[in-house]
Amino acid sequence: MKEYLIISTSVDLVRASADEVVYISADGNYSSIVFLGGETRIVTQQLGQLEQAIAKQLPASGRNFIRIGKSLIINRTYISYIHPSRQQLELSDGRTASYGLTASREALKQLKELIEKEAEQ
Amino acid sequence: MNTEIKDTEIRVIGGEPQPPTGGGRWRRWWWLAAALVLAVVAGIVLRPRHNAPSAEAADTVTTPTVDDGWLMAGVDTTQGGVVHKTAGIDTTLLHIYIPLMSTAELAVGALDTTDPDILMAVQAADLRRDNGRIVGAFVLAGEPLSWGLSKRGYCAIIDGRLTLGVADNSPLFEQATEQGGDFFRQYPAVDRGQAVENNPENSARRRALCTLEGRTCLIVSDDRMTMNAFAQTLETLGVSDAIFLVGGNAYGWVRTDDGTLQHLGSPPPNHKKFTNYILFRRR
Repeated sequence: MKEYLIISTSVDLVRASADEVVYISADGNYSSIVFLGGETRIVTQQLGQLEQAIAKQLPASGRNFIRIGKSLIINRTYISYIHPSRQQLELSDGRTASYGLTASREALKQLKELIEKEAEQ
Repeated sequence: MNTEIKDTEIRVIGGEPQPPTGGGRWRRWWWLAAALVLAVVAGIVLRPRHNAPSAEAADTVTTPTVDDGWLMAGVDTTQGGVVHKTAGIDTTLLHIYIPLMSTAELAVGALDTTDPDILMAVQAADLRRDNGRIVGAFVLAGEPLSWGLSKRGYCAIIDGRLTLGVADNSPLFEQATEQGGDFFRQYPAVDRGQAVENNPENSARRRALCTLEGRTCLIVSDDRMTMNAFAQTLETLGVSDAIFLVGGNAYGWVRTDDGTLQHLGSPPPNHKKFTNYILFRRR
């Protein structure tokens, strides 16, 4: 069943299909949600609030999302490349777009280990 | 749910917390939960000050024409202030001022330059030469001071949210009047990543209120430029939306970390009644 992340404020509402969210980045008071195809929507929630919304609203697909440091939430479905020492993380939907992100070496090292560990199971 | 996290950590959302490093995992988790409760009691406003600056701040990048992550690389975004960066596009030097932990608002009349909470202020809407009144629609704290469409770019500040856009008619004008917000019109510079052409062809030091990598910032040209050349430069930089601000020698200032003012332009000898500013006030 398709799950939706709903972000509601006093003036607007964003309804995002969980599997179409590629990543969310923090922009101070705002957060930018990047969707498949590259469309970006800025919402007035901080990243921590969106993390809580994901945990609460997405019981099945919530585990696809990984918080990386203070500034980033990614959908692990779209991880295509991790290079910790270069602080490089690439997400790709395999069709239309790829997204180059940066994060700390330590966080990317842990992400790499997590993905490796899960692949072995 | 505890949302505290360091830039060196990752966490799977929607499941049990899984810090990848062992040792004191649960003790730390309970400690963080207790800290969260204390933080709620003490007031969320204090929470950002608990974040220590990180040498490896995570940042995201989507702009294809500039180096990834350059804008906020190494910047502690939890501290209030104005980050000053420069960027070179071809032979053009741009100064980029990014206010952090601040809220935007409009003001009319002379500003108090000694107010330490005003991090940055620049003149916003143009004034008519014949009668000194504001050009185009202008709303100050819900009060319309001027009406009409003369320029298609707009900036709206409603419920603390700043929106830049280009439209003949924007519902945000009405929203600003209904919700005590601010609104003004200016020449558009960039609309959804595309430079917008404007008629004036004179050269001047240009300023624009921009959205770059999702952040609101002020960008000032180091040299005199035409409006179209400046808009094109902003597009190349990766600005997603921008409107011009009063350029040339119009007055404004940026408060540096040590509290001194970096002046932009020259203070007017006499403020006109409707000289107006967009300012960024420390939260």
